[in-house]
Amino acid sequence: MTVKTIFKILLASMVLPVLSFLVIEFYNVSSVSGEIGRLTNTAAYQAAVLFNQESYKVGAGAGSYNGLGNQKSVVDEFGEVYISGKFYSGETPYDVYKNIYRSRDFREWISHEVHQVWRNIYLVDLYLNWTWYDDEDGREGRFLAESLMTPSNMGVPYLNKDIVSKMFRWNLAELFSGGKPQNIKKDRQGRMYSSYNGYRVYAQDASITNLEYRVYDLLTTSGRSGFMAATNVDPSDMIVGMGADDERRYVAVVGIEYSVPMSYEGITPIKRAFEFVWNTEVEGLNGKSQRDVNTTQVWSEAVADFESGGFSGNTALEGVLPLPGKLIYFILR
Amino acid sequence: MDGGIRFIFKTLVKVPIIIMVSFFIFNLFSFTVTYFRLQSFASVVMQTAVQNNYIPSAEYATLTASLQDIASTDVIGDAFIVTESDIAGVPDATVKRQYGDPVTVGVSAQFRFIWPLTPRDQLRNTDSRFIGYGPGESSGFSGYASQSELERRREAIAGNELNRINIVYTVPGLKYYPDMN
Repeated sequence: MTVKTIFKILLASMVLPVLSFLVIEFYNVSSVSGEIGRLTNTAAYQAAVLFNQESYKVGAGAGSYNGLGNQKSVVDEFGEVYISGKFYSGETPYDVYKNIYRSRDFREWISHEVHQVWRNIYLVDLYLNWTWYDDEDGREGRFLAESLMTPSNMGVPYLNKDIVSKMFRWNLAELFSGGKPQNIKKDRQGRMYSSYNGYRVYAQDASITNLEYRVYDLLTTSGRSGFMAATNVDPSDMIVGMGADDERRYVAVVGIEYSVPMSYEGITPIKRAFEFVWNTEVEGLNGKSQRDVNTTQVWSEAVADFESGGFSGNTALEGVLPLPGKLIYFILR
Repeated sequence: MDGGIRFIFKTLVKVPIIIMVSFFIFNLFSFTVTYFRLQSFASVVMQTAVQNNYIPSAEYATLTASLQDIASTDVIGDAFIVTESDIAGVPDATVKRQYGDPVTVGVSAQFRFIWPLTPRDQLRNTDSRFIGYGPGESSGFSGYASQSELERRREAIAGNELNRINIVYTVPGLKYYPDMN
């Protein structure tokens, strides 16, 4: 065996593992990133559906972990709460109902004139937020409110941003930890995350960033084309026999934008390999007999974890990159 | 003459090596493609479970038909959708459950490596030694393996449980059923 052969073997023993790691990481990123994108989209969509299913109406002790549509909290293996399962506040379904429809979020939503085309929603607002119950409208509003009538009962997809965000975070935490507390870990800053195939998903910092409502009048050509462009549903059959005073002519569509902070830590020891190379110097390089810690680049976990803001250098949450997404939600009557 | 003998011996050694390497590369390629396809399929199964909390019968039939299409190659055998969990208390994935309850789904398939053709193979001696090993061993020669015996041997290798690809997820169901109170 010649010296050249020995050096070849030495070089190959370093290059081959690193190349193998890169191939595995490349495959992992390309296959799992798509999966994560689809799952986050599902988590957001199912949160919107859950909110509009009004699970709190079943009352305490029924249909959920501790009643009123709440869930058990997601905890790590030491029992520390990662994501709370308490979506709603209130002791009774009517309490929860009032908290939602007296909230600032709902009042802002209903303040847009376009949302008052549904008379019954207007009456509910009149009773709950304007304490108006002396005339016929007030009495009707009171009846509707006491019956826990909501926009979704009338086919209008109102989403309370805070509550849907809580549901979204819970869905994410459960999805990406696979329901296993040992998959919930802490990073160097003590922030908890779900570990999923080499990704860190910071579910507690995920949020619904924007809800954009649009109302389409299906009896107009522009309304029908707008609705079809937004939902890919042809409304031609829906308007058969629909009169001008029919409330169903108006269909609301909500565009949901969300953001999930996450970073990639890998599934192979490649980070350790880079760290080793980065921290290793050959004695005698540049005329130095020993390592000069003042002038030498030292491997930084902060750089490896994208703590300066990742590739863009501009993220809301330090150390991670946001995964943005959008979806369309609507209810047809 | 010496060069000619060397060439013959080199060729004798090279031919089986080239065959083995070719089959190795082919198997590597087919395994990679198979794994990708099964992983994509398992992801679809998992997505179905997340959206419904279980695999409804209509979806199960559709998914099974799709899996049969994927498995209609010689390198995949005994493919099925995993619906059972090894976690205590988690029912079969075809059983409807409430929002938040875990469901375990995935896909399992036997990967069958393609082996080089072996036209004939010696049967083992009763004392497990090879023909010609030691003096006077020729009497122990028991003949060649039959076609069915060869087939059985290949089947035993191809059916090895270590060659099974299992891609299984445990996920929460994210659909609320008001009728399951």
